[in-house]
Amino acid sequence: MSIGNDTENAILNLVFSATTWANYAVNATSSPETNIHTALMTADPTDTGTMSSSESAYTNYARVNVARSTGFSTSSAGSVSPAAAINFASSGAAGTTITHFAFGKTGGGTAAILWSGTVTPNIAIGASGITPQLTTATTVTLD
Amino acid sequence: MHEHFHAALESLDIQLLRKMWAHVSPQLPQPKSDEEALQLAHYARTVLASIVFRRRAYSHAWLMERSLPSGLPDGMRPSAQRLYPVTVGSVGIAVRGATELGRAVAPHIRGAMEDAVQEAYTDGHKDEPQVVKGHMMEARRTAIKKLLG
Repeated sequence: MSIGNDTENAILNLVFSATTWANYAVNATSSPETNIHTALMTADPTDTGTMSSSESAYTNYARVNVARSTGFSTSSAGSVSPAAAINFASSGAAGTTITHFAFGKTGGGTAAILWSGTVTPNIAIGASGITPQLTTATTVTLD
Repeated sequence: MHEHFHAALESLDIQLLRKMWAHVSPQLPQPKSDEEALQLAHYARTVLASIVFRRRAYSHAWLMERSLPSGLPDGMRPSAQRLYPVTVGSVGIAVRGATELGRAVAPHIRGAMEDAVQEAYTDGHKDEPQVVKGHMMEARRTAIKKLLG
């Protein structure tokens, strides 16, 4: 049993771009999430983790909002990407290496993860003044 | 010779630096490639106090962007980073299977996509995310076909 390609795209577009899935689902009409939070991790948060699992704590680090209205490409072939590079705060001191990332619910703390994955190449926060960036090649897939 | 060596470091003339290094210190290890020589030259520029600060700062940024060690003293780094902020661009890859089979093969597909990113970066496409993504998606298609037919 597998999921049809159109269905994969519809689910991704609904989650990442708040796009109605015709005849099946509309974006929340009451208090919809307007942004998707992006977090950086120093280890795999795993499927049971939250946005704060192994979350990076380099000096100045903060999660970054990406708008659901315009922040992601339209899903194609079961994959979406951010429409623009996602830049995090510049490090204020040396910190640990970033190996994973997650898109998740806003609200801070132990918010739910939507999708998580690896960061390639890993980003070494070897000094102050490093700005980690997830480029527009960043990809989320559903198969 | 010292002045010429210093001038070659200032201008990052890698061919000249390799020739002079081989001539002056043939008994010491030699860089195996221009890329390795360039990395060593940038590191040397961060260390040498006689190099103009702006060039030391540039070399520091060049090394940081590639996650390589810099010899720039800690006290000089804030000024250097104001001159040349360092952005390290990487690619997030989140592969999720909605079915049991999809979940089982997801790590293999993600691995193939990670390898494609590394290859694209090695081939000099680091600043071309569309090219990188193209390689990744091709690797994904190939991996899916190989795993699932």
